Amino acid sequence: MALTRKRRRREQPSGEMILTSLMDLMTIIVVFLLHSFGTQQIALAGDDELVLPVSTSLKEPKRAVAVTVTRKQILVDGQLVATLEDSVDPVTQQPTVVVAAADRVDMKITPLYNQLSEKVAEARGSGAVSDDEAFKGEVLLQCDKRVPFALVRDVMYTAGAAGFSSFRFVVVKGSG
Amino acid sequence: MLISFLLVSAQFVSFSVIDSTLPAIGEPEPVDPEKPKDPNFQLSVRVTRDGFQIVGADAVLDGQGPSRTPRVACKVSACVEAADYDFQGLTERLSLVKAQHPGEEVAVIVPDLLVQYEVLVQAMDAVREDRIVRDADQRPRPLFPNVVIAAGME
Repeated sequence: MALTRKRRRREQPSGEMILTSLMDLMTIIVVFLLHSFGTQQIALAGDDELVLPVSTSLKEPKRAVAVTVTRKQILVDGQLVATLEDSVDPVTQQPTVVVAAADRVDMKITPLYNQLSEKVAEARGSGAVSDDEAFKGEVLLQCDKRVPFALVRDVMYTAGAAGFSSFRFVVVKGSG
Repeated sequence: MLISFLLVSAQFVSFSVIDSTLPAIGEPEPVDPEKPKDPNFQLSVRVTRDGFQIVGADAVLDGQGPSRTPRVACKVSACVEAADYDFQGLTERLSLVKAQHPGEEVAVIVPDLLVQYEVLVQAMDAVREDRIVRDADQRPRPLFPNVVIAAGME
């Protein structure tokens, strides 16, 4: 009787965790996530007001000063520089957005110009860009697909005035 | 479980970029002397609420001179959203232009100010390459890959 009890005790699971397979699992997940985030040069804020258009372009994005135009705001490298105002398209009567009159002089968006000028000064002067890597004047434009071209044009004009001459429109890679 | 998670994760949105310059502000691009350039050829595509207007190459298409510019009309009476525009029609017309000027690679897009940004992006796609006609490697046939955006029209 006592012998039978001892055998039963021995057959019961010990309760120790088998870590080897768990470590394999975690390694795969970590490598996959690192690969996913490491290859993507662009970080987008989770914002419903920013829906990028789809394009057949396959060109990979590179790091550059990021100008984001949502349906509410204009941001430079994630930092708010101007708030947009709601308006109405005079032709279609559809809702649209414009830059506040106080924030602009003709096509130039003043707070955006100031911020981008600082970026240029930083890159050229204070060692943000190394000596052998010249300032290329590239800007990543992330615009909501519903904003009017007039707003995109003003942003490009302002960036051009601040010293950026090359524009990279960030789009969602679509099938072609 | 893990495999299904990874497969779902792999469908995450990936981004790409379209390069462009602003002609009024950007530095002029160096001219490649190897490629033949027609000084009279300046392809411009106007994007309006009525559709697309191809300017500067009309003589190639219909031989009627600069007064008659070819137009790719909207699918509906007036274009509001991107779905209303005939991007495939634009590509087909530009393919005819490309056949006459194979050495040209630059096209200027002139959108109306009220056109949505999405329309501009898809117009750039339609101008850059023909995705219906493909080469032996199944790559899209390039049309005018260097797209320049000009200041919009009121």
